[in-house]
Amino acid sequence: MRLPRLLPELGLALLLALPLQAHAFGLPELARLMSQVKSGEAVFTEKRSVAMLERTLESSGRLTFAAPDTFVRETVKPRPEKVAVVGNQLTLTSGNRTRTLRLDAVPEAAVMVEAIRGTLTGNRQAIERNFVATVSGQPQRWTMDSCPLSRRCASWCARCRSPASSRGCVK
Amino acid sequence: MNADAGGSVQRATALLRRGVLVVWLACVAAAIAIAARTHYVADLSAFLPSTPSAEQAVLLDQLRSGVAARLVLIGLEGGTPAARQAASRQLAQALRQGGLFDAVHNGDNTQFEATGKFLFEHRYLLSPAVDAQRFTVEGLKAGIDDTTSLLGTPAGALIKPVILRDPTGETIRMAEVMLPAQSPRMDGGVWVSRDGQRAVLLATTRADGADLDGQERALAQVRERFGALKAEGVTLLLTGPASFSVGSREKIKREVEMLALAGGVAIVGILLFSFGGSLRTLLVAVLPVACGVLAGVAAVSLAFGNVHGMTLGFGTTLIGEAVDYAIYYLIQARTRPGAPRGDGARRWTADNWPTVRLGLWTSICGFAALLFSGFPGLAQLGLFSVAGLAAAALTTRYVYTVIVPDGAPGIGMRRRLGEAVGRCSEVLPRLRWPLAALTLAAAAALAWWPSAWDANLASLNPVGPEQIKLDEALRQEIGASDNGTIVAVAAADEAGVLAQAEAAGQRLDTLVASGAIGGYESPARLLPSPATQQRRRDALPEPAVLAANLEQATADGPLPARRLQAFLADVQTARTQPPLTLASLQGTPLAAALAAQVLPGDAREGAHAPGVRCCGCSPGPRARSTSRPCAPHSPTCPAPTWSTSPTRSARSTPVT
Repeated sequence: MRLPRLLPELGLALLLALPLQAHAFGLPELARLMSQVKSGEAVFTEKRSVAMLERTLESSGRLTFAAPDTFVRETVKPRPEKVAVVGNQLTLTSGNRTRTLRLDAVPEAAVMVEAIRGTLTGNRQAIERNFVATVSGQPQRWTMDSCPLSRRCASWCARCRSPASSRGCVK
Repeated sequence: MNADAGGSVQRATALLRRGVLVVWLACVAAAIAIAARTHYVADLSAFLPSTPSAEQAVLLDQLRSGVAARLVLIGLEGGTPAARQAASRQLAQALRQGGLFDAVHNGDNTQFEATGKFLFEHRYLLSPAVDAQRFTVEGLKAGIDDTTSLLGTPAGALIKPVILRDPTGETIRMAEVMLPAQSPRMDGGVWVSRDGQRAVLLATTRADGADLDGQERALAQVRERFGALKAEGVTLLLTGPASFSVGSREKIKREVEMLALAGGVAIVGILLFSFGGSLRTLLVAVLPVACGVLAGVAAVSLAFGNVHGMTLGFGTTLIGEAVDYAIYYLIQARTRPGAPRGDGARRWTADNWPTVRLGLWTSICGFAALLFSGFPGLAQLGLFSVAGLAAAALTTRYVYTVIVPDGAPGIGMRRRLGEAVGRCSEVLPRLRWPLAALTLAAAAALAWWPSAWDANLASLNPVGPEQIKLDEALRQEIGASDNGTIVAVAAADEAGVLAQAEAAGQRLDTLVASGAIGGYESPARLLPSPATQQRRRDALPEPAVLAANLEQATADGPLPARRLQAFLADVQTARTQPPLTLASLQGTPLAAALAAQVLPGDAREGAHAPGVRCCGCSPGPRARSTSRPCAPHSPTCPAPTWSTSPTRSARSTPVT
């Protein structure tokens, strides 16, 4: 469920494969751009600072996406872990333990998954349902700031920035 | 001398007649007294086997008192989402306070705060991750890494407040085991349907599945409390076994009353018609049937201690043929002109009684077979019929000959009836060919049309298809899916039963892992056996050892040991905690969830006394619709297993 932080890397990776375009660039254009990508794979490195921990947590692994609704984040280091979302099914694997959840039974997670899947598939409605999204920049280098609409989600994720900033979700 | 002898015979006969009447009246009075004190029952368990096998016993038990039989599924439809969510919260609250429900779940877990605290305090006894390895340097390191990796995520928000007391994340491990995978969708803090158009609630009645009056009261309470909410535009949907059985009983009762009334009116009409409208004759004519019913009720009541409603209904129909006895007698014993009083009775006794007696014997032989049935309900029916017919025949033979020695006077409408029948007989031969053609057509239709033989038991179900559809929809939304299989284990005591459930769970886990079943519920997941708890407690190291291990494990980690003093203290407290038992969980929602899965019983009785029932398997994702048993012949599946397709049961509810 650390999904929000996956956005920057994956977005960047996908973007490198896109042709250059030059007009006014906003959410509709970004959505159109992203909807052309049907699948993708990228490696990621994640750095996380949590106030109560004495050092930054680092992890790395692989992200996979396949339209319309499959999204997998596989952590290789420091320990093997896997978060897979297929449709409404969320599967968490840690070591030899696997746990399956219905995504809509955990609204917080559903919001984040919708945001990521929405961006990756270019589903503007999915983004706008849960976030106030501001897109700036150019097709080859854009930034999307998303602020959650729901107060409950905003309590643990204030803003997602992708892909220009590598900090991702900040709290 | 002769006159003297004749007089004595006459006096003796008169005395005998009076004696017969006195005996008969005494019998009737006794039967009325017994019938008045009889307990009438309506639950269907009397029509289930009385000496069930171990498998049947568990199933019957589920039907009578299992959680599946006590489920009430509630849907709130219409209005705005906010109105539905508010109604769900208020209704759940009202029902929890109402006292007729064991548990009411609507996704709102705020009332489980105390339980959460209780579980947290006992986490080292309850967490499946606790073993000797857990508190070694490596074990601590792995546990802390696991937990810290969740920080900064939605799951992390839950453990952040407790991470300094629980750095190895036992809370998470407990929750993983206890929370069901098939949770309903959440919206606004309550359960809603997958499409978001309904708020859904799940309640279990305190009353047994067999206690229909109790179930009816519980349903009435739901309606009444919902009515009091005044939720704008929101409508209430109620379904589940409780609503089905109460609804069916209503319907059966209504139909039985209607049919009985129609039948009664028809019989009285025909009798009045045939005996020329004489009320006295009518009363006399129904006497044998009335005596038969009374005798049947009294005999069943004495032999079984209660009378089933269905015995009364079917039994009365079966002994309805006793009306014939009266009709035969009243017509056949009619006196011939000039014959002395009582001649008709004498003649009937000599000529006709042997025939009636033969009919009585054959009927008794037929019904007596039911007496040996393994179903108490059918045995009741047999006894009722035998006693009823015998009483009716004896009333005809010995009482009629005294009170109406010369049959019924008058010919009533019989002449006109005869004339009508005569006219019909004239017309019927002319219909010979059309009737023959009709018969042929019917035979052809039978041969060519698809078989009308319907072997589907569900067609006997008085519940309508819309109700069944609604039930399926709500079940799916709540995730209370039909169970494919019940696994039952028995043991001498609570500890043994929980240990058995654990062992069964280990074998079921392999089936879950292989995908053969989707999941299962087990009491051992909520309450591990004392032996397991003891083992976990023994795995908790001494203060000095734990402190040293922790120091090493956190040496270059994100959480330094100096901040984890509360953890060390908690582990030391846990070392002195006594293992939890069912009794120590009283008053928490866990107790209700466990009571649904663990049954106290007398294990000495052998097979028919499960000390526990546990572990409902739900079919795997691929087998969901087929409701197949969980690999009954597989060596990995604990015996006994069997398919429970006739019952609808549901997984027990989440407890957080």
